[in-house]
Amino acid sequence: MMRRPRLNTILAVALAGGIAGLLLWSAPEASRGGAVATERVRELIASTGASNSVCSIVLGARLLDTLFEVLVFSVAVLGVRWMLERGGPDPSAGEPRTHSVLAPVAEIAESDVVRRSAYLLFPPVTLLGIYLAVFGHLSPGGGFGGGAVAASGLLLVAVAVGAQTVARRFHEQALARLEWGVVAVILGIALVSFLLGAPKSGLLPAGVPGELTGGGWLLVYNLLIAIKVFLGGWAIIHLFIEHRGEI
Amino acid sequence: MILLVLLIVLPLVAAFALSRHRPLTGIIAMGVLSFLLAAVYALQGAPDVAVAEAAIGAALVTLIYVLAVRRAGRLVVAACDVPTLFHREGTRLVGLEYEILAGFAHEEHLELMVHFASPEEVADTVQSGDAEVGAGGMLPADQHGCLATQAHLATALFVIGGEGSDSPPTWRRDDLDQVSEMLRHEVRTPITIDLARCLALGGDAIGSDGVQRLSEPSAYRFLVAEDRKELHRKLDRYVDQLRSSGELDVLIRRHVR
Amino acid sequence: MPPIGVAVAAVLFVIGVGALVIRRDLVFKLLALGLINSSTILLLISLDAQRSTMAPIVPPSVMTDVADPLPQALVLAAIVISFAILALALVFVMVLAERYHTTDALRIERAVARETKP
Repeated sequence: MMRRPRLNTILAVALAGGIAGLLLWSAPEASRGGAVATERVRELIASTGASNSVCSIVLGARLLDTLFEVLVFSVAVLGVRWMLERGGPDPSAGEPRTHSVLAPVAEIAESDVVRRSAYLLFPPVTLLGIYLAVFGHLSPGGGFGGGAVAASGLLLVAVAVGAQTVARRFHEQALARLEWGVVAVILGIALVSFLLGAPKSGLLPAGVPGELTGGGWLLVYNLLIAIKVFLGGWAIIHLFIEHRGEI
Repeated sequence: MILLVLLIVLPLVAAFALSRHRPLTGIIAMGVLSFLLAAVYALQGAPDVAVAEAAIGAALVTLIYVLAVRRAGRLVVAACDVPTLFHREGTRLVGLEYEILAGFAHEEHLELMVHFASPEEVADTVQSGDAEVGAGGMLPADQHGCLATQAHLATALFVIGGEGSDSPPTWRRDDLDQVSEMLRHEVRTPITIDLARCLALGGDAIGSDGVQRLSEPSAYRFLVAEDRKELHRKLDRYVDQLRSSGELDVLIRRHVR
Repeated sequence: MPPIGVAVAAVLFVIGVGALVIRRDLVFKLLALGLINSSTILLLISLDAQRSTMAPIVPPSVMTDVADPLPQALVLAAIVISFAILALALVFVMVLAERYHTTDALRIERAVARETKP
């Protein structure tokens, strides 16, 4: 609940307001860089052969950022897994987790409507995710969005039939290893590209913009990142559901 | 234009979401905010960002929040560990009050979730909403503004020890081991204790200086928060049912010797 | 069109910080942090909206004024990361809540202080 505003609160909000005001004041300055955007975009598209200039920035000019972001994501998933499976850095401290002891097991809501609509929606959603990932360098989408959409499709099914049922189809350790394997492959490809001093599109030559082959390695990166985000998202959701019980 | 309308609505939804009392409402509202934000991103020429924000912010984030705060389908009980009434034996729970509550939870299709706390904290926890029912030998003295169901077991209060001292008896109920220690060493501070705990102490109490029974009869009840009137009514009616069908006596005989 | 997006982002930022400080419930604190995150993203996206709101994803033949792709690129993976970090933060909150049986920050602080008293 809220407490009456105290000095700390007022100061904090005032500080936030100050920062916000600063942002507003600097907005005209900051947006001046956009004037060269059109030129930059044209050059990007020509050099990488991918119509999606955002994607070619993320996986080309700013590839290093993206690599570290993938790494951070993986480490966060690792942290979640560690905390939830072992109860944190010192599992012997503190009282045992309070969960239902000897109480009747809660049943998953057997709702026909939910199940049928989940089964109905799962293929299109997954397809959408794959599409976003594969064509990420040509039209809006990209590995991150595609992986996230695919993960939410899977989680739709998990909500409908229970995460245990879904998890039984996967081999848990294989998934974890696959996750890190994909990260290793991404890093490997990037490292090789750096070492060989490749142009922005990686080792393959830039194709024709608008074609599937345009963008060289961007397609591969997008797919790998999509797989990574999908696995990581599913891992987090599965761990949460295991810890807290089914929805 | 649509963009303008969306932008103006955003702070309203945000303020609404963060000012709710129940976390679940706030979470759902933030999910809606995510969707609106995704629409804004799309209209401002950032479709990649819009897709990512919609998939992640609206679906995944909302889901893990809901999982984290989920309490639906559970009956949260704050209880004191009292050997005959509510006791943890290894990984099992035993006791009269536990059985009553487990039966109630089963009937209501709820999962029982138990937190152990000290007698003083139980009413606090119930009142603040962190637990829904308080149990574990709750007496009228513990009530502190909660509602209480009807009594399910009559009890009496005893004063142990301290025959010659004038100080008023102090409540000692939280740490039974400490109490037995004190009795064994014949400390002269009078202790007020209730029947269940007295029985739990067993021979120690009876062998010492003189157990004096207080005249006011008392009874154990469950505690329910003031704003959970429906829950209170249901639990009360359940205890009533047990009593009138005779099952309560069976349970009492089984647990309280 | 005046940069209303920037103004709204600033407002959301202030709301987020205010809620972060005022609300005692840890869940709402996390939600407020998420809002601050989103407000920053909105700011980065809206900075250039005045000039053009056309997505920078076009075949070169149809090139007209397009929005700046750089902030979008920066922001794209930030969204995904904020999800992962939020999940981790939520795990901490869950562990705390299960340990101290409450999500109220003040009560947790008091309980910790009681536990660590020498």
